[in-house]
Amino acid sequence: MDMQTLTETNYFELFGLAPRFSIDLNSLERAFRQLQSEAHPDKHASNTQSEQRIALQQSTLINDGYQTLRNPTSRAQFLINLSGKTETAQALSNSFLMAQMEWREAIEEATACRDVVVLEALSKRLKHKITLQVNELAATLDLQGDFAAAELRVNELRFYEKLRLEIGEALDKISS
Amino acid sequence: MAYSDKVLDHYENPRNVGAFDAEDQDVGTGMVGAPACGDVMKLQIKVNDAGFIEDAKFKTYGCGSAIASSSLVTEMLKGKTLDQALDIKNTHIAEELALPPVKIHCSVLAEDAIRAAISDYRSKNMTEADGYNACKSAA
Repeated sequence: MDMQTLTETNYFELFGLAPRFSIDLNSLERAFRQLQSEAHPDKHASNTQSEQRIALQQSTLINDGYQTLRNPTSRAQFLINLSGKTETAQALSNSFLMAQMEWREAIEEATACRDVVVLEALSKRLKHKITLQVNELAATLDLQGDFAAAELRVNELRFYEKLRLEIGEALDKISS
Repeated sequence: MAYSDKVLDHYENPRNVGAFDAEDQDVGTGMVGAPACGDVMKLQIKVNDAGFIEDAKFKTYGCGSAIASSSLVTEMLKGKTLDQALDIKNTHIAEELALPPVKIHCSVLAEDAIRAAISDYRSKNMTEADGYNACKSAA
């Protein structure tokens, strides 16, 4: 995942969206396609070289912005950066880290036993956890505007995404 | 990216993998994590009556550098007092393992784990320290 935290360009403005965590992904996609077709190199083929270069840079920026806003983790981080929050994120709790250890142990064990059923059950449980975490993140950002608390939730979400990758890799390994 | 021989050695033959009972009075447990890469590290120290770390164990889920950093740290900790252990800095770990700049954060994580384990041990033993001493002096 691209962890870029570009603050020079406000991606919400770029796509004509209100700077909120809860966004309409269809609107984002529509704006993305529209902008990208305007910046498409073919449309600038008859232009000067410098104009073509600008169009290409614009196209890269649009791609970066789209990736950033589409993914909940990077969208939340982008909003937090936009807020200009200066406090450092709260430390991850011991119980959270302990639970992470247990997740990793469970994945490791299931992988060693090539237990697809367990891995799929873990995957389902994780999906549910991610949904809850994203909902909480939405409330923290859009309702409470508590950016410091939101950063802790984003950091936790990053661990869940890592777990999702680990489970996916484990399932791939077993089926290959 | 190529790992150094030392990282590979610790990665392939990690020292002191395992766990102590976190409830034991003479055990300090440090749990740390790195959101950027999703690594989690558990480092435990066992401290004897004389105040020396007599044993250390770890369990790390992460990249080779994170595993090597925690493995190395368990070796460095043994025989040290808590204050000496606090002098171990991430730069020592990174240097010893020849970590490339992109992997420095793994050594930072290991240093954080040392601090967390020591602080856990100290907070566990602070409240009972007075009682302990009283018993010893009475005997």
